[in-house]
Amino acid sequence: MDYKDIIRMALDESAEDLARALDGLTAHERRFQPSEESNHVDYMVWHVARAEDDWINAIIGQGRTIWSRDGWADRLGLPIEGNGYGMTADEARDLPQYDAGLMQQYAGSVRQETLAYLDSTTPEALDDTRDAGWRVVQVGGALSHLMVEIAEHVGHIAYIRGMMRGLDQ
Amino acid sequence: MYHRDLIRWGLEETARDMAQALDGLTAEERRHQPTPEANHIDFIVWHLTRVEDMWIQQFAQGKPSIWEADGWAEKAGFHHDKLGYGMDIGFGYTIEQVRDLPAYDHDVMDQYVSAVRQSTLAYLDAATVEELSAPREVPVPQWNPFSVGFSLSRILVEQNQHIGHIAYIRGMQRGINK
Repeated sequence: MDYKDIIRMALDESAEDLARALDGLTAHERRFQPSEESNHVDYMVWHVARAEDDWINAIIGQGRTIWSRDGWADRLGLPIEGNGYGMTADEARDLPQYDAGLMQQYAGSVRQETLAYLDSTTPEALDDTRDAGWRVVQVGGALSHLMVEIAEHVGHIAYIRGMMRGLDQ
Repeated sequence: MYHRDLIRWGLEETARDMAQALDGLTAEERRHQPTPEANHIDFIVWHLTRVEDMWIQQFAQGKPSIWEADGWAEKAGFHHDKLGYGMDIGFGYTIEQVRDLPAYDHDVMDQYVSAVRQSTLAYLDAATVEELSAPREVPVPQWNPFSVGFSLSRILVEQNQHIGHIAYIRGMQRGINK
């Protein structure tokens, strides 16, 4: 077991938990906001995949995101720029309705790239630094952050589901 | 030993995010349940720390939990004889058990949280890759065989999902980034 296994296990567990939290939710449930300033599930699912894409392909990979490279913004009818970070409550509420199945395909492609990238890393490469724009990060630090951020968003989604459906339903 | 840095960074970010999500919350806000079956923050903080304690003390090192060994139940005002549920770490609680969790002293709980985390980091500092990878057995059949490395990855994921719950409950009560 090495750092790759730790990251892979964490990402796998988050993916399983995300699938369970989303399983069978209606379009209406995915837009539910328990308070005016609370994010809805549709926002979160898009944001978390876009953020992973940014970290892996734009910041660490110093290339284009899959979002821009493969035309996902057009296919999903969502903004080409931005990943939702810093959106106002109004903007999050007004996020265009998208095709949830298509979003799942996008999230799947992002994850595939992430795992392929992870396989290709060496411990030395994890010490490299990247300028993320708002701060300079180590590649390893970015990967550690990704595990944390994804799990937090999965927690948001699971909590929203629980409020709507009740305990473990 | 890159696995160690990675987990340490993850745990540090987790602790920062939790502190931020809890900062300045009142006792009432910490007991807020947006629906009758939704967990409150006091339950979540206690539960996520008890789980870390279980993995690191009991399962990784075969020792009693810090909760039991150092009398934290008593210090925090818990009465496990009344709750008396299995391992009693909040896992599998009914919604009544969650609702009726004792209203504990938050400073005492913070101290317990720190004691557990200190022990986790000390364990991590000493753990080799071989130790982290070794297959082990725990009393929960569906988790077997497990390794400590797996449990550390699991702690990161589980704790951050719980911190997501806490942050979401805070946001519902206070609004965006407040």
